[in-house]
Order: sequence, then structure tokens, then C-alpha cells
Amino acid sequence: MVKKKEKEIEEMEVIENEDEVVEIEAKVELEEVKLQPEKALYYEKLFGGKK
Amino acid sequence: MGTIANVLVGKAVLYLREPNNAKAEMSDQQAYAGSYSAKLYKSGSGNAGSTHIELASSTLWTAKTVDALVADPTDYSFYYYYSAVTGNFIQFELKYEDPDSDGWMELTVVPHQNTLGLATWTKKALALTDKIGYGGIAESGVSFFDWDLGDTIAEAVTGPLSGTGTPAVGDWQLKRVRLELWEASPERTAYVDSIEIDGTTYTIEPGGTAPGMKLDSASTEVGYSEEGLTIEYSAEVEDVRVDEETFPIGAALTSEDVAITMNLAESSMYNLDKAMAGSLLSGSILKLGAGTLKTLNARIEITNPAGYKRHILIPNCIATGGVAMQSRKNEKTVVPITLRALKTASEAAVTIIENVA
Repeated sequence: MVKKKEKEIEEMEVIENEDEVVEIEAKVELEEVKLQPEKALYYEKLFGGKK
Repeated sequence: MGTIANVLVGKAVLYLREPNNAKAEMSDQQAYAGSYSAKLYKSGSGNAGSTHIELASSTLWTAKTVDALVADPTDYSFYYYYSAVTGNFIQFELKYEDPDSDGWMELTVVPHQNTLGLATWTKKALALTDKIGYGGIAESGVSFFDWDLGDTIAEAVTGPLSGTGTPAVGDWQLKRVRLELWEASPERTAYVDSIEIDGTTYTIEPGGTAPGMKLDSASTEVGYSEEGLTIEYSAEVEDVRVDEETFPIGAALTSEDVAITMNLAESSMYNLDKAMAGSLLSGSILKLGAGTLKTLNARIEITNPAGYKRHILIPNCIATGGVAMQSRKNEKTVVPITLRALKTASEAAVTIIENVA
């Protein structure tokens, strides 16, 4: 999901200054946190490792 | 003639959850069909974990395989009513087992991540495009899981990202379904009703057709006990009397109480903490004198001779009574626990739910 979003951002030509890029990247990171279910941590604890 | 199935035999099992920040209840506050629905609640704080309604088969559902789910996920659906906040709502977990080995897998469909609740009843049928996460033990005995949500139902189980091989799960059969809230935050409520499993819809009602129905919230079983569990209901009644009659002409209920008492044979720190009203457990240290009064969530599970479960749910209760523990040579130290039910604003203090399937 995040990679896809980053690709979309790269393709966007409307981004003209660095500040705007930082802001959009921060938004993408926030979205990743919300979408990543905490149930993943349960399996990491149960089976070990990170997948 | 009597009814054998009405004769309860055997021990009751006590499960506790504390802190009391997640609840699974049978509620008549909302219902899509019938009078009740399953109410799943997270308070917004504490640890994540499964707060769920569970439907389970006593044997494997042989025709309900992973392949069958992937072929037509729309045969699996549910109705939901979410509180008006944005959060991760219902996850649809399907537990499959391999009939030929000890292999098992929990496949969780997460269609409502970061979703705004609309406080209205809506149907969700699973779709090929819904994201999934899964984890389990393969036929070979090796664990696997993949929870980066890169897969959908259509892509099915493609194996762990570490690339140690794709477990063959296509013919694994369904054992259990859970509809759950997992993340602790934000504070939210999800009502769930009319759960469809492989084309059969089960209305969520006490005594309904949903097989092996259970409401739970990541609770902990207290373990071995001594002399069973006692549930004591008491009521105080005030008579209405008049000079002209010798019998009371009426009566009014002035107070009610439900207390559960049990002798816990396992003197674990967890059990000690739950038995003592004001204790504070943090890792391996139990403190007394912190001045707090814990509220707990209690669930008691009893099996009747017909093999069906009866659940006694007490969403809010407190530990009361003295905790006297004797340490003697060659004798076990028993931890006595007494729990007293408290009333919540919108739900009953105690509900006893009988399964007939």
C-alpha cells in the first residue's frame, strides 16, 4: 500500500517544493500505521520473527 | 418425565479479564434481526486482543474448505452497526484445520480497517478484493504467518514472506469463525448480527441456531480449583402490609446481589491479584495499599449433558471478601475469590445464555 502511494507521489508533477513533499510523505506514514493491524504483533509473538 | 439435558453436571470454568476495558455481550440495544445482537466494545485503552463472537463446529465443517472460500467468498457475510468513529472495525477470522495432520491456520479478513462507523445496520459480504492476514502451523509442523496485508482473498495463502515455501491449505476445513475487534483504540462499539457461513445465515439470539456460540474478550482461565464454583443470587424484598390483612398484600424488590465464590488451587500472581480488590500487579510485583478498586469482566462456562454450553456473563464485577491463604507443609495454598456483580448503565448486571446448538 505504502509503496504504491509513494509511486503515485513520484508520478505527481504538481509537487514543486520540498516542504510539500515532506508533508505528503508524513501523511503516507500515518496511513500505514492505521492500516497495519495489531494482530500481526500477536503472530510475531506466537511464532517469533517478523513477516 | 424429566429432561436429562436440564440437569447440569460437572464443573464450571471461570474466565476473568482485567483491566475491564473490552467487553463482549449479548445486547438488546440494537438488533438487525430478532431481538438481540452481539455487542463488542473497546474502551480505547489497554492492550489489544480479540473481543469477539465465536461460532464453532464440534467437528470440522468438511465442505467448508479454504478453496471453497476463495471460490466464492460472498457466501460469508454479516450485518454490522458501528459507532460513529473512525477506526479498525470487524475482522472476520476463519480458523481452518488440516484433517490429515495437526496443521491449522487462522485466516483473518480485514475489510473494515480505518473505517468510519455510520451507526446504521449494513451488510458486508466478503469479497475477493478484501485484504487478508493469516498465521498457523503447516502440515510439516513449521509455523507461518503473513500479516503485511499484501494479499487478498483472491490471492489466498501464498506463503510466508520469508519464502520458506507455500503451505498447502486448499483442502483444510473450517472449524471456527470469529468476528472480532482487535485494536484497543479508539473507543468504539460494534454490534454484529445475522452471520452467514458458507450460505447459511445464523441470527444472533440467545438459544438461536448459531453453533457453539461464545462471547469473549481475551479473558484468562483461572485454572485448577477446589470444591467447585458457587453462584449465589440474593434478593431483599420489602412486604407491603395493611392493618386489615394478616398476609402481605404486596411486595417490592429493594436490593439484589449476585456473588461468585471459588477456591483457586493455582496460587499464581494473576490469581492473587484478581482475588484482592485493591491490589496492583505490575510484572512480578504485587502491591497492596495503592488504594484502587479493580473492576473485572467475568465469564463462567458450563456444559450441559446435551453437550451445549451455558455462559454466565458478568460484564462488571469487583472482588470482595477476605483472601485468607494458608501455607502448610505438603498442602496446597488455596486462593479464595469472591466476585460481586455491578450494574452497567445500558446492559443487565448478569446474563445467562443457553446454547441449543
